[in-house]
Amino acid sequence: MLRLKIFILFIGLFSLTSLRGQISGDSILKTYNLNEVCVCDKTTENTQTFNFYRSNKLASIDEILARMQGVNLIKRGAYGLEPTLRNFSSGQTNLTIDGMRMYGACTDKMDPVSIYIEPLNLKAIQVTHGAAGAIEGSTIGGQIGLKLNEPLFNCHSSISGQFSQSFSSVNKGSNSSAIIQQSFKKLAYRISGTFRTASDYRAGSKVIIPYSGFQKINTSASAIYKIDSVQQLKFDYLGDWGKNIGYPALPMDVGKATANIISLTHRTVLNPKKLFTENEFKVYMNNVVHYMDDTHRKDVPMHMDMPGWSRTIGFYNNLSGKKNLKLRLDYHHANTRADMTMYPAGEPIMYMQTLPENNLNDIGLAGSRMFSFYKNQELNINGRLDYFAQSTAKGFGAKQWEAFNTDVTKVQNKFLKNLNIAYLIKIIKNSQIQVNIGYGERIPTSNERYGYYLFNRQDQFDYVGNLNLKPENSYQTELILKQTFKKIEYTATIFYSHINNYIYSYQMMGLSPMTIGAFGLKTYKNIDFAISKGFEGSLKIEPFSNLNYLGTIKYIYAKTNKGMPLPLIAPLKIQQAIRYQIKQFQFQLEHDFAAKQSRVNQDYGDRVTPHFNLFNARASKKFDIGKAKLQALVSCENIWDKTYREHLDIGNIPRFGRNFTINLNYLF
Amino acid sequence: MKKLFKPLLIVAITLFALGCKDEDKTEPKPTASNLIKIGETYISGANAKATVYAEKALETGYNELFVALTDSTDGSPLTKGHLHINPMMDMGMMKHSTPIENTGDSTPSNGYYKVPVVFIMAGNSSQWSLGLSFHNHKNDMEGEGNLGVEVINSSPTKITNTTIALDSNAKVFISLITPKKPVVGMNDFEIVLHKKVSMMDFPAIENYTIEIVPEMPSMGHGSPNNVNPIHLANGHYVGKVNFTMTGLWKIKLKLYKNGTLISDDQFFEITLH
Repeated sequence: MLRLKIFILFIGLFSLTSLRGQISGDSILKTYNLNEVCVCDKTTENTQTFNFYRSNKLASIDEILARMQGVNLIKRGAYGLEPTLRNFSSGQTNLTIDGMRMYGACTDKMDPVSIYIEPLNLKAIQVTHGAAGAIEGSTIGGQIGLKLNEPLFNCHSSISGQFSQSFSSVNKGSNSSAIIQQSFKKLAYRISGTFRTASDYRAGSKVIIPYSGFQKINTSASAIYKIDSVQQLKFDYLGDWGKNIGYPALPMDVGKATANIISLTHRTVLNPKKLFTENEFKVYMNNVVHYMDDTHRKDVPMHMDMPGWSRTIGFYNNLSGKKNLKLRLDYHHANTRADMTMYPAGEPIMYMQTLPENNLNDIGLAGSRMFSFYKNQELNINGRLDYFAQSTAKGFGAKQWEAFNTDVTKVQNKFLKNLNIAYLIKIIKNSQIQVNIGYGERIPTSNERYGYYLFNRQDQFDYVGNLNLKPENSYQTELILKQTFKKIEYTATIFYSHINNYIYSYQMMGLSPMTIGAFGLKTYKNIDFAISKGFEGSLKIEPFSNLNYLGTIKYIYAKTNKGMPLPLIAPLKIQQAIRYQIKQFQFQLEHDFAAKQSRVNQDYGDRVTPHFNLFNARASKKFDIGKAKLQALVSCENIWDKTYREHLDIGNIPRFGRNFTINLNYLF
Repeated sequence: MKKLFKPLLIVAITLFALGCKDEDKTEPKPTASNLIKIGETYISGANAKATVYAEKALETGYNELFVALTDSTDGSPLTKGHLHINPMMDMGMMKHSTPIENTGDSTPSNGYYKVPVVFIMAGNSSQWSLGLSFHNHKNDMEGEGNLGVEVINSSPTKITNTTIALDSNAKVFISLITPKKPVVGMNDFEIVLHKKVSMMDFPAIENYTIEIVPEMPSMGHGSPNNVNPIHLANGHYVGKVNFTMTGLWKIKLKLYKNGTLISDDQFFEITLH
């Protein structure tokens, strides 16, 4: 009960932080609780996360993800950050939306799938590390599962909703959003919309970062129809339209990015006395079109169009029961392609497919089960088997590959196996120990297999794929200690991964790159192995009921079999916050520290990142207006206007300078 | 009569072509439909008529002439005999020939004597002429005919020449044969090299080593895994060239003799659409 109260208190406090800069991994309180809510404490997950996001509608998904434990973000622009899990990148982790698979259409990873989800549509984020996350897809790094909000059935059919508006000084940013929802006897619906616009932002010392503004509109519509007392039909649509999205770290921006996600879900409540108590069947399709654009850039050697397409269709059937019992069968088909057309002055057009049109078919079977014994022990087992087939379509893109004497139309198929066993024991009343042991596999991404002269801004090399890559596989183990006392609570985690056939890049000597100014040509190969290990910890102190302290620490050490540091590994980070609450007011001070990262992979263009200290302050007040509520928040981030960057920021672009934000939420 | 013979001839050639089975399937059979007529001339001394065809209008660089010979009396195809072509450029002040590959075949293939010729310059039909001499085995008669032909400049050019100081100031002609229809991906690459020894003598160069360097001039990049052409026969060098995208490509040529780089400034431009 006490724990629940703490949660609710913190959720209230979260309202203080609703709009933040693109500062990754900053607020510990959020990090801690979100994980707590989503991963450990399943019973309170829905209400708590829902409340959490109700009060944080205007933070972007990146901002929320950055607060999750084990999550670091690779930043290429002011928008569209790529989440990594314990520094496993997007190809090594799975990011799903309501169990749906989706692939970005941008070969430069400008469009991680998470950007299509606005926080106001988000019910929960489930972060699972390693093979424990291999329920919805094979993985070595884990899974980020985004759960979307659903229409709620109320006793009466009144309309409810909310309006939110915020402004931030650092980029003249404005975020507006609205939700309307209503329920009838058999039908409930929910519609939401968000409009975000931002100009180029200002880094520390008033330096304007060119090409960092963006505009986007996001809409969602969802409806549930009750067929009878045990069956439901749910329809979801999500549309996202981005325009002129700047990517200061990359040589091009995004002119237009459009995503459409549609799904239909059928749910049945089965006999509660039987093994399986619920069944969910979903069919879905999604479509992303992404146009890169250089028309706003100066000093472009040659105008270039780089569109990309991604289409995925699929279904899953998920049987679930008590004790974490789950049986899932799923299939998805993905088709991706990216083109490049260049327009040299007075010469014929140059055209190539940087990602030849390619297809992926995946059928998978997954299951999980929890066993408890001796009242204080639990064993959680989950596993998954996938069958993959990858190939490029015949045609232009496949012809291109003749230049490498490679027939990319040859189908690559593989079985992938994943297994995770988690053992938990409560030693004494307030202490528990959890041990995870897992094995996971992942197939090479389409870029790693079929990419054709894809430019990597980080090391300034062009990359071509390698058809013959073997899947990566990883053995993982994790030890978690947790102790809870009256006013203090802490967790400590250590983890270790041994990744065989690690996919690593190397230079193809004697071959020239395509991109003007690139240093050379690289491709991928499987190296024997790489390892990744580290620790995470959190400390929560509550000396008085209205004063809280939270601190977290995370560190990762990763290297190849030859001892070379892996690229893009975040340094040691400490994040702490202290919060004080009095009546309807809340005040919060935050401090983030990132150590200097000097373990860098120079081959990959990693550079040493200096340490930084960052301070933020926030204050908020709630007002009751009849039944409605108004919430006002002001905050100042990067108080000392420091020029700083995170190690995972591509292209040495500094982050936000001092930023004042005003945020108003009206709930009715 | 002639008008009647022509269709008959075509039918005969077609039937002959169809009857021929052990054909190289990679190269389309020359038929009346994919050839255009360049001109015709009587070789009265051999009681023959020669009709010269080509895949397209004659241009500077490497061309394949397809010559059909018929009996000038009854129009029947002549299938035995030796054809020799002697191209000549009359510039008024002087005359010169051009590289030609007279094969000495005694029978036509698919009804045609195939004689490749390299025109080293453009000219009209009063300047360029083909001297056709034929030894007709049917009647054992020999004679000569003359056909004026027009040669236009190939665009982009398919022939380049250079005077190589390191090879005794030899004037060397390099002609591009394939790719004829370049595509993105892998292409056969064939060139033929000739040397000007005298105004009338252009022998093939068979002892060079050649390196190719494809490049997109507007971007400065190349392409991977090209196969340098190696000498097959008669000055023909065959390799592979890869194009990674459409657009304008420049294939630079490096010529070596006895291991010494003797020329590196010659190139061909190829456009892929």
